[in-house]
Amino acid sequence: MGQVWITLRKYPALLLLVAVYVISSAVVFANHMRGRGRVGEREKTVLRIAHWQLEPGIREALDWVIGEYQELHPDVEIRQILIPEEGYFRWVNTQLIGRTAPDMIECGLGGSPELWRMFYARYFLPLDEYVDEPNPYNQGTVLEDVSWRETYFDDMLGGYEETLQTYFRVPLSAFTLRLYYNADMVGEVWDEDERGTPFPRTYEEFVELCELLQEQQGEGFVPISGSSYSFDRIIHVYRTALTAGYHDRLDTDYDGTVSRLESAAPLFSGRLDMREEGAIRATFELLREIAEYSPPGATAMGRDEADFLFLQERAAMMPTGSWDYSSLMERAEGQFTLAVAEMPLPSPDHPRYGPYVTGPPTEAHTQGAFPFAITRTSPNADIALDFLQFASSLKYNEALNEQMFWLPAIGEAQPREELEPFTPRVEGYAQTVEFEAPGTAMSFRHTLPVFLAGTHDYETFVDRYMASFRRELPDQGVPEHIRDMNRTLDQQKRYGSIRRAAISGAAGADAILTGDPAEQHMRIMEAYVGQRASRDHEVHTWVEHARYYHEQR
Amino acid sequence: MPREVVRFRHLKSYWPLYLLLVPSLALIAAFMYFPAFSGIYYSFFRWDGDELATFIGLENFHRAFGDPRLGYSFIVVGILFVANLFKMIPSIVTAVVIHRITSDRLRYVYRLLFVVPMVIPWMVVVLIWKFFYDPILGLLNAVLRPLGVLDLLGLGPFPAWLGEARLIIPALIIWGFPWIGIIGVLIYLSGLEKIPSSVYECAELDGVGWLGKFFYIELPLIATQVRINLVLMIIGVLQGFDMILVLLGAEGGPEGAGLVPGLYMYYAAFIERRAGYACAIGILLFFVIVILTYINNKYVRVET
Amino acid sequence: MSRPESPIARVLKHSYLWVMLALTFLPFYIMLVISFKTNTQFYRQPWTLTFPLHFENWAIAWETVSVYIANSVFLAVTATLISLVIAILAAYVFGRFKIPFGDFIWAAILLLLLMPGVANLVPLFRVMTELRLLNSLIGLALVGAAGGQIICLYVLRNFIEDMPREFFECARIDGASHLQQIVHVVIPQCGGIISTLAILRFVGEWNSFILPLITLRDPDKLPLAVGLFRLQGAYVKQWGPLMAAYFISAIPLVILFAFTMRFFIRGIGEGAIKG
Repeated sequence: MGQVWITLRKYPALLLLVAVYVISSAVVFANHMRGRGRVGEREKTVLRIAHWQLEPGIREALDWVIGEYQELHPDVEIRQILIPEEGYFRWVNTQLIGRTAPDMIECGLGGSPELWRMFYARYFLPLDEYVDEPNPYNQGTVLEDVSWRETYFDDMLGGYEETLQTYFRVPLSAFTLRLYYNADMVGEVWDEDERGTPFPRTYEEFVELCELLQEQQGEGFVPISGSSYSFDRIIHVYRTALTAGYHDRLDTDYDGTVSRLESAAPLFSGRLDMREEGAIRATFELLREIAEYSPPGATAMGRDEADFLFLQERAAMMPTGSWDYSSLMERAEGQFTLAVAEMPLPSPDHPRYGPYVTGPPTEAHTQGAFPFAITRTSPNADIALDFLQFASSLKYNEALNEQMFWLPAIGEAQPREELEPFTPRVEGYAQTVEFEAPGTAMSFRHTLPVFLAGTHDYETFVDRYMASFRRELPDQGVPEHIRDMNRTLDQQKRYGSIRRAAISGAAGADAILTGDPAEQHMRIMEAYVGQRASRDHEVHTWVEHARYYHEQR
Repeated sequence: MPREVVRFRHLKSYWPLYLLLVPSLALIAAFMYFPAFSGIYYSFFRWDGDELATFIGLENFHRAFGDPRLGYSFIVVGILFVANLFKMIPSIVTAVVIHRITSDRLRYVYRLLFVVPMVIPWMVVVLIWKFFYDPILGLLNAVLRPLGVLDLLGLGPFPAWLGEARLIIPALIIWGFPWIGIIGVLIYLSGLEKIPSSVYECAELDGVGWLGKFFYIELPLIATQVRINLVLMIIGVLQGFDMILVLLGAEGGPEGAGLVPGLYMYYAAFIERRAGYACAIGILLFFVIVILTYINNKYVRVET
Repeated sequence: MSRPESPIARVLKHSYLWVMLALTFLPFYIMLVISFKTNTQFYRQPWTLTFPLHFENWAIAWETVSVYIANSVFLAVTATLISLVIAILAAYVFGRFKIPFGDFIWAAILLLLLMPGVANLVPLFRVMTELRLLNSLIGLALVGAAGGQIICLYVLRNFIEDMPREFFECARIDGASHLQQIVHVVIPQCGGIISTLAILRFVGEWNSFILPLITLRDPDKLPLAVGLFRLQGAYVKQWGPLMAAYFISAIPLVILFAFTMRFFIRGIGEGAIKG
């Protein structure tokens, strides 16, 4: 030992390194033990909750709810894991494969709806047996005897997975999309008295405003700040406004919504030709027009960069959701007046887009967001469920959302007054065409920005994008879907309606029901198996899901 | 120094030697060979990275050869490879210039100074570059704009280097300017130091100029070192997608302009869940590296 | 170089080197200058110092990255130690003896130098899942050591082969076992190259990114590279603390290099000649 010491003294660097290493190891060990819940003399159960809401204030608000919960349950410790949006899906995916997933995961970002559906079926806990029971944490409130599901403003539709006909998620909030603008800057060129409104009501006026702003502010300024993030969202607004007319044509299973496959199948088979359909072409041309008033390469910019332009007053407007309200408000304070408007739509008289415009997208189907699902690998699923019930109870959901400046998910809960402009607007149209099909997400992300940047025309864009349709969709089971759709439609519809009737407790539903609910569920799953029989590994998925559900009973 | 030969019959007293190999081989087997073979195995499957795997024969490879995106990714990597050949020059020049400094002490000081930037963690370097490329805040535009370069190229006042498909490859090429890899410089210097001063004296008698010395003496004599750096570069370029992942995101930027095979593989495996296909891409990548290394060893001749 | 060089050549050489140095040091300058700014100061005047200096940025940054630094040090040192120990053991065998199957094993190991680690990423992830090494720094260190030892093994073998046999013979006559020979002969004799390899491995592990990125779950286990990557994904970027964090994360290596620079510069040269 003495000799080692002498050697070490000769090399101060080595000595230092050893010292630093020892300290680091101690830190690593301490973190490891804390991660297992061994801290002090008391052993705690550690749960982890992962989400991507890095907006300022969210973490603190959630920590507050966690703190309240831990006060009730001192032997539980809940830790947040915040993952940036960019890598969120990849992170969740690897954690699920590796069986190291946290107990609760916020769902729905990235990947594709198909992949998420597969995740729900394989890795997440179905909540069906709990949603019809009252939420225990609502005791003593008006919602005491109301089922958990019905305490939600949307009957917990935000947690319901249509295809699997099962509840998986517990939403804690709700979001709507708006256009934020710098009222001072807009006011300079847009005279409210003369125009009658503080902000353009139609798309034509909006374009005029963009031109006026551009003129006034000169170089280094763009009217609309945007990012890939905001474009994803405005696509939805204009696509719905211009293509709502396709609804009856595309809703082949008459369930009132156009699913991704219902939209992808006709695009794939050519029944809906992107080149021929005026409304679709108009949608993309309108988007390109907006891109002209956005920063160059906006579709590759990050959300923070868009924020930056807007807050530095190098852009006058920015489309984003209610979730950004408090952070934008806070940062704009003292600099300019922040105001909120709806995305203006073309009037029916617009020479180019007018003929296709139906109306704004409805926000009636606004569903609970900030949704968490519980992983099956969680050793403490019961605690996780208990915590999510706690967070979605009337009292705490209201308080949580008040702190986050978000809209609460529970019907009786009161939102903050400032959020009034974000109240969901019920009248409007449902989304119809979805351009991204299973497996083409990457192509869409590759080809759209180039089209929006004006590098090539609409035809080239469509050709390139449809090429990826032909390449990817056969592998994703779309042709089989087209073939099987009719065959399984009846079956699916029947079980679907039975299931819904059972859930909503419709009069006479019991009379239609044969056998116990588990058996019903099995049949529904089998219907899907029949539908997607060609995709053997997916079948495995559905069957496995069904089997799991069965075991639960 | 010849090695001691141990024959089979001596093994009785020499068997502990194998014990010394065990830790090394165990790690290699577990974390390198086993994954490699299971990668080959899974390349014949439609595999989701988890427990669902269906044997599909050569379909993944068949698909890979018809995948335009994969083809494009190899073109990107080819362009980056050629660019990197040129990006080796500053390191060589720097090494030669340091070598030609007459004062021993200054030579050492320069070397020391060039090593210092190595302490910047790689991630910080990438993030700082990402920040340089920022259209509005970035240093690159701030420097190029007053020089009139942006107008000259018709890029407008705020080109988004990482946001426009046509600018991505240039951005990846500019990346790392002035392209001095310090490890490379040190390796070259080690070669240069072996050049006996008599060679220089002869050259001077013949009236060879400074450029001549470079081409006739220095460059040929550090060919070994160039080759070492070349191999390192090939492997680095073909494998390295982490920098692109950080700069451009998992999709490789708009139009996938920066999508290299490694990144595509990563995307397929961890985002699209087509792990079997990802394994197939990995195998193709392996063959490309083997072929390039083989060519390098065979044709980049070294006279020693 | 006997002829006295012309003053112009001298000025040219030095100015070339100074320009290059200035460019390579630019990131330092930028990190340092911005690290003292608030966002407002930064937006108004990004590239020069602005007053008042905000030292609290550094305090914030330290709070954020200190855990990452501890994790990185632990990961890098552990992986370096493991890879060097096992490489020395194996290099001793390959460098001194020609054992049955030795050449075959050697060839099998060398082939790995060509193997793109990337190609194995997916199955490697699977292996780590099976061995329950996910979300574990030890697991990462093991995998890092497995890959990193190969180049060490290759270089060390050449060095040991070139060592005079007498060293070993003397030790053996004194009755030294293989392990004793390694400790008393190999390590002192190859000290220089071993420390160079150690630094190289250390830097390599310090910079490892993809594997930690996909295998680690808990925020308090992240090494620097992944931690910084996550930091920059936050929406509201505070540039000052961010740059201070970048700068702080360079400090451990600065210290390491300050003490070992001499070794390192010499060692790289030796290694390159032998290798």
